[in-house]
This record gives sequence, structure tokens and C-alpha cells, in this order.
Amino acid sequence: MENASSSSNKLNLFNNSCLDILQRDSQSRIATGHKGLDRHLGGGIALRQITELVGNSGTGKTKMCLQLCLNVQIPKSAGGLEGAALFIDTRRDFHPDRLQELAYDLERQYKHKSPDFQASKMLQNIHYVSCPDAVQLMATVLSSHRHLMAHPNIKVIVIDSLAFSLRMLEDGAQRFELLLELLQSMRRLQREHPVAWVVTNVLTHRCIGRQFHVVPALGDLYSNLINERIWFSRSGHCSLGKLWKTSRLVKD
Amino acid sequence: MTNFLEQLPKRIRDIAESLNVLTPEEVLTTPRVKFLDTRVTSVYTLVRKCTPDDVRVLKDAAAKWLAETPLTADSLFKPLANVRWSRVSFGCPALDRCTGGGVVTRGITEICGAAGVGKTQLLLQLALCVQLPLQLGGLGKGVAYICTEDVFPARRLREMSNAMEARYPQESLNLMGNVFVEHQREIDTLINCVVNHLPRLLRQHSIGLIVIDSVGAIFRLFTDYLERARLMRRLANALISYADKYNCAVVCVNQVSSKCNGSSDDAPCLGLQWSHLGRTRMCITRVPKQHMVQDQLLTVRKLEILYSPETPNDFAEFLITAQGVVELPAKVRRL
Repeated sequence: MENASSSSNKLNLFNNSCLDILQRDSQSRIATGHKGLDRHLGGGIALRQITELVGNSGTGKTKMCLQLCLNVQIPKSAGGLEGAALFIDTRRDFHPDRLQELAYDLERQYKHKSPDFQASKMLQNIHYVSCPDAVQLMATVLSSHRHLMAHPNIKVIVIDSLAFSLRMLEDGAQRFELLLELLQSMRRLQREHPVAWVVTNVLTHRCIGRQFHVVPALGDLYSNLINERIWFSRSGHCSLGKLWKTSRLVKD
Repeated sequence: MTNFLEQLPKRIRDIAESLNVLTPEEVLTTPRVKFLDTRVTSVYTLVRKCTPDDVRVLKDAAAKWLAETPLTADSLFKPLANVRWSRVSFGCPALDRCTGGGVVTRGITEICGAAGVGKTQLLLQLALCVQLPLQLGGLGKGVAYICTEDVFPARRLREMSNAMEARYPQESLNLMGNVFVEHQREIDTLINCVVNHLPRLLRQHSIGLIVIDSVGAIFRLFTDYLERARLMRRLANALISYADKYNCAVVCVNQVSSKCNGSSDDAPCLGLQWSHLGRTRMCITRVPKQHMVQDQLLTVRKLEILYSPETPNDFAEFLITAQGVVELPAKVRRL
């Protein structure tokens, strides 16, 4: 008769303690470049989580997405993850010139710490797919595991923006189902690879009771399935939290 | 596409065929529950009950069939790919500087402004500039211009095209002949025109610019916001797909309305939905400054970028003269 501890070892359950997880977690965060936000998030965007950036047009979501694609490549010697990025573009907001400018800025910032962190190498590590409609988006997300096998050092996948393609579908029920399927396949990928998903969303009006409230699009159930939500406002401030009412303003 | 179904194992193929889902696009957009629903497929057919793993295999195969491989970002700078990000110049150096080179051939560019501030004038200038060859800042292609409120100002275009031909006499330009004009006053006919007739024009002629003047007028009369949102999305979807496929710039004109809370600025119309569909938004306003040009006192106009994915929020001042849109003379401009 085996005792309980040896049988649980064979099953490979409950092997990690909280301390293990804490140590592993503190090394695997992607810096956002915004000091207050990094402090609030505990270092940056976490791997194996879905982070959502919400805000209206022109508030800086795409810029943050590009910045994350670059920050994930910061070398380990400077405290970064030295990974690659995959950018899934549905809104055609991606502009290579802007990415190049941000890359040069980052190179300048890290020049004294790691001199061979070149902008040209940064651009080679960002993979770009353009998904003009919902079908392409589904195809890309469902086959992203194949791309991760080919490039195993991809640490962040950005979808800019999830709301745009899905809202183009006319049927609300189909929209909802496809969104759930997308989230399910994102989670499945996260179980196998240490990847952070970053998703962009927009605000919309919803009629609650008799009044119109401004809420993030894509629904309430979706809000439960993501891990972090960062709000971008027109004045340039960021807030953290799932609901606007309970969100905390991030100060520098 | 029968090739897609033929490469799958027979069981999975039966599942797809029993629901009449034949192309990979349909496989991906049919929700999973439809495949697993036993009310639809009878239990007594030859198909054994469908499991979630089967659905996953089917969808994976469809995704593999349709997905394109990602490119690296630095390959987007190479000549074949970077034609997607080409620009149409405004014909006025100040405006080009402020917008980073002109209107991008991706997504919808929105120009908003109050009535009479000069939006149509700027669009006419753009319609002429897009026909210039590449080295002069244009695309060498024609224009599809859809008017929804006023009659198209053909005489004014003739005046401006004469001035442009005088500026570049060495190019033999047929500026008036390449502008295709359409008048649509109702939303249904407009959507029908954009979705059904415009592709035919795009296939037959090379078009570099699509203008809708104005979107604000035609959508403002709606009271049912859901219906309006749906129609806006359908229109925007069609326009963005043309911009992608034929590499042309799309410009829509919007109006402004004063904000209800009493502040003096005007907000663009059509709300949040429309602002999400547009990629770049520029606003034209009148500046309380005047300038004397050839015995005429003209009011200075300002073009401001409200949001754009690639340029900072800059502004530029310009004048509208008989020749078109020009920048302020150097000694007047504040440096």
C-alpha cells in the first residue's frame, strides 16, 4: 500500500508551491514603458495571461501594442525577456515607419547597457499578419500554435483590434460564439507555451435600464474571460481595472 | 472548394457535409455548438455522434488551409510590400508636412469640419493631385467621387485643374476626364452603389482615391441607432476592403455639431461607432486671421490631425485661393 505523498508524486500534481510560482513570475513580465503602469502591474504585462487595452480612437492603444512588441525583445542582460512578437493586424493601423521610430528610441535608451540591441534586429523579430476579416482572424488564431512551433521564442501575441473584425459580423449570436472559441484557443495555447496575449478593444454605448452607458465592447462574459484590463483615456492617463467604476488611475 | 474536404478523414468530412458546410470559411465561422448539436443531425444517420475533438480537428484543418504565414516587420519596408503604405499628397507643402506626406492608402481617412470651411475644396485638390505621377506625389490613378448633398462643383474643378496644368505643363494630364462622379442622396442607394457598382468601376479603371462627400449628411437623419451602426459598418467594411485590394485612399467627409454641455468646441458627428471605423481623423476649422492675396481678403484655415496611427497631432494653416489650396506665404507663417 503506497502512502498518499508518493502516489501524488506519481500523478505529478501539486508539485509547485506558491513560492515557486512567485519566483518564476517575477522574471517573466513584459515592461510597458509606462513607469506607473509597470509598478501597478508588478513589473509589466504577465505571460500566460490575456491583457486587454481599452480606449477610444487616438488614445494610444496601437502605440502601446507596438511598444510591447519591442519591449519583449529587451535582452536578458538588461532584465528583459529577449523574445519575439507576433502582431495580428485587423484594423490596418500598423505602420512600419512608426515601428521603426519607436525601435530607434528604444535602441537609444538601451545603448549604454547593451550595445548590440539594434533596431534592425528588433524589426526582424516582429512577425506581422494582416487579417482583413473575421474569417482570417479565426484562421490565424487557430493556427498560431503552428507558428509558435516554428518560432518558439515568441512571447507576446498582439491582436489589434479584436473588436473591429468581430463587430463586422452581422449576427450577434455568431459573434458571441466565435469570440468564445477564439478565447478558448488562446487559453489552450497559453497552457502549452509561455505567451502573453494582448488584445485591443473599443468603447461602445450600451442601454442599461433607460440610460446609455459607455462600456467596453464585446460583452460582459468576455470581460470575465480576460485577466487584465487597461483603460486609455483621451487625456493620456491609464487606468487599471475591469469596470470603469472600480478602476484605479495610474499615476507616474 | 472540394479539395479542402477531400483531404480530411471520412468521418470528419461527413460531419461537415451533414451540416452543409463545405468551404473552409464556412467551417471557421460556424460556431462549434452547431456541429455538436444533436438536434440537427439525426442520431440514426451513418455519422457517429460528433465529439468536440472532431470539431477541433475540422476547424484546425480549415484554419491551416486559410491562414497566411506572418512576415517579419523589416520585410515590410521592401519595395513590393511598402506600396501598401503609399501616400497621396495634398499639393500643398504645409499640409503634406503636417500629415506626414498626405493621405495614406489604408483605411478610411475622415475629414470633418463645419459648413463652408473648405472641405470640398480640399477634396477637389486631392482629386487632382492623385492623378499626378508618382514622383510628384500622386498615384497616377483616377478618382471616384460620390456626392450626397450638393451638386458636384464641376466648374470649380475646371478652374483648379487649369491652375494645376499650368503648374506642371510638361505632363500631359487629362485631369477632368479621370474623375468619375456619382450623386446618391439616400442611404440605401449609396450602399448599393458602394457595394455593387463601385467594384465594377475599380476593376475597369485604375482608381487611386474614393471620396464620399459627405457621410455626415446621410447618416445624421437616423433615429434608430442600431440600424445606423449596422449600415455604417457595412459601408466602412466595403470601403476598407477596396482600399486593401486596389491600394487606393478612401476619404469620407463628416460634419461637426456643437456639444450639448455648452462648451464652445464642436464635436464631429456620428458618434463613437463612426470614430472607430475611421483610421485617421482630420479637422478643418477657420482661424480668426485674415490674409490679403491679390486684393482679396481671405480667412486662414487650419487643418488639425485629431488622431492618426502614424503622425503626431500636428496642425497646419492654409488658404483657399482661386488656384486651390495653398500654404501661407513664408513671411506670414509663424515659425
